[in-house]
Amino acid sequence: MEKKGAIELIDLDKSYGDNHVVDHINFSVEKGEFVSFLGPSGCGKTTLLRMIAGFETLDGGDIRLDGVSIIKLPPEKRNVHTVFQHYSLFPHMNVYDNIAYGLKAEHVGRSKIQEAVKEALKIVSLEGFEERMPSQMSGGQKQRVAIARAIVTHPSVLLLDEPLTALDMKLRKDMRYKLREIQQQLGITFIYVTHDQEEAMIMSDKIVVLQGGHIEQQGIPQELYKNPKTAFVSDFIGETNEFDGMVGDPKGDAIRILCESGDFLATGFSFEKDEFVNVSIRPHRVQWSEEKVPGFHLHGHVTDFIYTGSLVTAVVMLRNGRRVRVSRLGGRGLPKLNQIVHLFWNPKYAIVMKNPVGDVAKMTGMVKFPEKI
Amino acid sequence: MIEERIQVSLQNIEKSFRNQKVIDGISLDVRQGEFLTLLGPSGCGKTTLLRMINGFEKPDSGSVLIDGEDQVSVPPNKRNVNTVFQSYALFPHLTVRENVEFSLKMKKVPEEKIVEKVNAVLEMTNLEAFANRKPSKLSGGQQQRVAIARSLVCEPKVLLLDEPLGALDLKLRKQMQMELKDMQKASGITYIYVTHDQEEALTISDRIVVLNGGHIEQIGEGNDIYLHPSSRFVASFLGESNFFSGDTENLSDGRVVSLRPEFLILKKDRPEGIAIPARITKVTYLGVYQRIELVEQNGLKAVALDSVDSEWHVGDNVFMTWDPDNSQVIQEEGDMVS
Amino acid sequence: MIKRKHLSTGVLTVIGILILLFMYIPIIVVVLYAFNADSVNYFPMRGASFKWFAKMAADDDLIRSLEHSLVIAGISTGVACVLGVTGGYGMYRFDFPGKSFMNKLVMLPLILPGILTGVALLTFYQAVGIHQGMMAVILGHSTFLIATVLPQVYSRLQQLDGNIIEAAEDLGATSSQTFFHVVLPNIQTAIISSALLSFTLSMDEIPVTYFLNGIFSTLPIQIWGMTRNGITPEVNAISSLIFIISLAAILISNMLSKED
Repeated sequence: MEKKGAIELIDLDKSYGDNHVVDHINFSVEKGEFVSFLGPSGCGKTTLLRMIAGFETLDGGDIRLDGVSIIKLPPEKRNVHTVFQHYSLFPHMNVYDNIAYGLKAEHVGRSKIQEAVKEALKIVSLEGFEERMPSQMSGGQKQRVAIARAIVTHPSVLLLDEPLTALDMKLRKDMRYKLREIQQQLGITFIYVTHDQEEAMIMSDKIVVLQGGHIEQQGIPQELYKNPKTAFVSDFIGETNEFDGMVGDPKGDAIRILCESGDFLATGFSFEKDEFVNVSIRPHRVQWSEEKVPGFHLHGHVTDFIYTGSLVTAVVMLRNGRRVRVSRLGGRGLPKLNQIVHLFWNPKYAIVMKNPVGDVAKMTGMVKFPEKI
Repeated sequence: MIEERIQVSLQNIEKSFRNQKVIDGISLDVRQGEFLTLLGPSGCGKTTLLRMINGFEKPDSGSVLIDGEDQVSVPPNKRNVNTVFQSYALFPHLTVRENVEFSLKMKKVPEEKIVEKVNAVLEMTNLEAFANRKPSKLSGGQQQRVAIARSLVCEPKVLLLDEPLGALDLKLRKQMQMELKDMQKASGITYIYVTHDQEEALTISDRIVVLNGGHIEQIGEGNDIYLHPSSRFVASFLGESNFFSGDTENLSDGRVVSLRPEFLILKKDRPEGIAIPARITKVTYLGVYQRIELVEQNGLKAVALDSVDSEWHVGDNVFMTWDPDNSQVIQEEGDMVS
Repeated sequence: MIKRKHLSTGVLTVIGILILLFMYIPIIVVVLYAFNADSVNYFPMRGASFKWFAKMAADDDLIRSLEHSLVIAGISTGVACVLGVTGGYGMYRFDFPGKSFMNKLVMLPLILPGILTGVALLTFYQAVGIHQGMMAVILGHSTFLIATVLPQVYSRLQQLDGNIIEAAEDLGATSSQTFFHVVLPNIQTAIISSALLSFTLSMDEIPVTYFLNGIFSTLPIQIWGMTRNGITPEVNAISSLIFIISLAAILISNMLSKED
């Protein structure tokens, strides 16, 4: 049997009064893909998911499952299942009955049900839990039962609405890998909603970044991290250092960018001289030297360190008070406290984007950049 | 500034709920002016401990001392301690200003003084623009700040925070962590913070108390206990850790070598010194670094973190090695050996 | 799914309207005929007049019974509110043996037939030496009206964020400050709406009042007496008035509980 599960969102639109929650969204999910809808609260990601599930109506557009429109079908007739943030297990039924519920509704034979439930429990590593009641289980266990219940009927598409949010951080991190394994093992298409970019990066084949009801950018995790198209995406996905600057003259293979904190080099963009840009450089790409580096004029001293476990970040305060972060795995190769350092990087790692605010500043003459340092 | 003076002292606290032991003999000294975090999984007793300090729970035995005074007969409304609740618990029928001035009104502080203090706190927490709004019209982050402002206006000696950032988006949470840290440093108030998020604890705390099953596993500065965990639990809870046994060193039973993934070095050719052969089973891209899962010949699993510029593929056969200075020998039962 | 009207929605609407008509046509007829110019109820009505309202206003017995009803309703509602609010708050804050039993016990007066309640109260009051009369009626009404107030207040309390009481104490408020400044403002609408409902129930009440009143009359009992001799148009007039006032009270009560 061919594994199905391709979803197409065509020009989806929805408003609540003045609030344009979903704004002409077009997107395709291939069968067997793990796609994350990523964005801050209110960006429309949950509404979008609920529209696919059938819990929300559309104002316009179409949703197709394997080429067939499903918008006229009620939720129970679409072959998509949902895992909610709060498990939603039936409290009066034990684990077995919870999982078997959907199968019983489809009038599957009893021995087949037993087999399917056993298999589902094995996949979520809860063998032997058939008799337990929800009240006797931990949050992580209940979530796994919710997942087992959703996959036991072999849906072609599974929708997950921030299913790990209610779990402890440690369990959450473990469950991310587990969920991804389950998805790959079963080949089900997963559409996953989250506001946690690390989670999205770890689990997804593709990420769709949403803001204000529209798609900011979509692509594989590497693409979004290395080549964000807007300041929103570069800021939302991973940590970054951001500079507002103006395009200057070429220097060798790269172009100078001038900003209030100093100036530096960047490549790989097509903006004209004197255009206002927004430059993003990831903390782990920032390098430092005790001596001046040609083409770069950013220097200051190390004011403190931020330890977040595997990553150690040195905070460098530049002459004008602006702080730049320099991160290294295990803290290897970081400068010392109070050490004076000159910052630089490989120009190809600087991500240069258009700066809309810059136009206003230019017009009003608000921003003054040093011409030469 | 963290002084040596002890602000809060918990001595031999025991507590059970319905025959279940929730706190099993905990003693803890909190220094004045420090940002102390109680870290642990759900059910470890961290919130219960907090509630003993603000007075909403009474210990079955043991004492709670604030500034050297036993609090056994002091009710919550008389303690010089304030709490920021996980659900914020803002008064829904009052505006932001009225919420913040509540404690001053209850204590019958004169009107002009109230206005003065409230304005100062609203300014400090960037809430001036919202002073006349009701909580239902505020975002999660703004509500959070009102909860803090409401407590700060009382000028407590100790501020207790019970997982205050749990309901916020990741991005906002990270921002608020920095804000809280700055606020604490500026005010000099002792903060006691509860969380289950170890990364959060590492980011904001001066000291961390790792709790498990009602007892203290380890106390210390974040980076210190990260690099020198005293037990398998702490090594596993505070980030990830690899555990290697017997074949790397001559270890007797019950001891393992604990190594953080970022210190596990992978080499294509056999290196000098420690060299464990393994095969790569999974590579995950995480932007800042990549996470590599491996399996040894005997089936044991390991995890390494490496720069994204390194080329690693599933199926590669490599050698695992590390600098012994970066590893810890841990007793399985909990006491650190070296 | 795209919004679409199904056939079943239309059928349901028609059935709904029919049921409402079935319930309210009798009342509408009564209100209509309160303005009847004739003494006899011809159909269709042959003329409109306010004379029955005037006659009603001039009827001393009727007016006195109205006064009695208002006093009883007012005091009983007040007592029921005080006991209902304090009882609801107590149940919310404290755990005690028999709490879940008491939770169900409180609802009893709403479930028992009025006659049973009336007989039970009469027997009990006589046993303890309370005679039939105003006091007995007020006591009796207060007793069963608690069942209207307490559950509403209790359920409203449960909708609140439980932490706000702790937050108030954490910020230095005493128990009474907490109650008056934090709890009360947030259950206001529940109190007002259950008070309005109680007032209406008391005004309309017959069986319990009948057993406890002795020699004086309340409004519904007076009307009942008048109908013994046939429905005079005066009865239509007073009934319309009661209907309008009750309707207003319930609408306000409903609006208030929606605001939460």
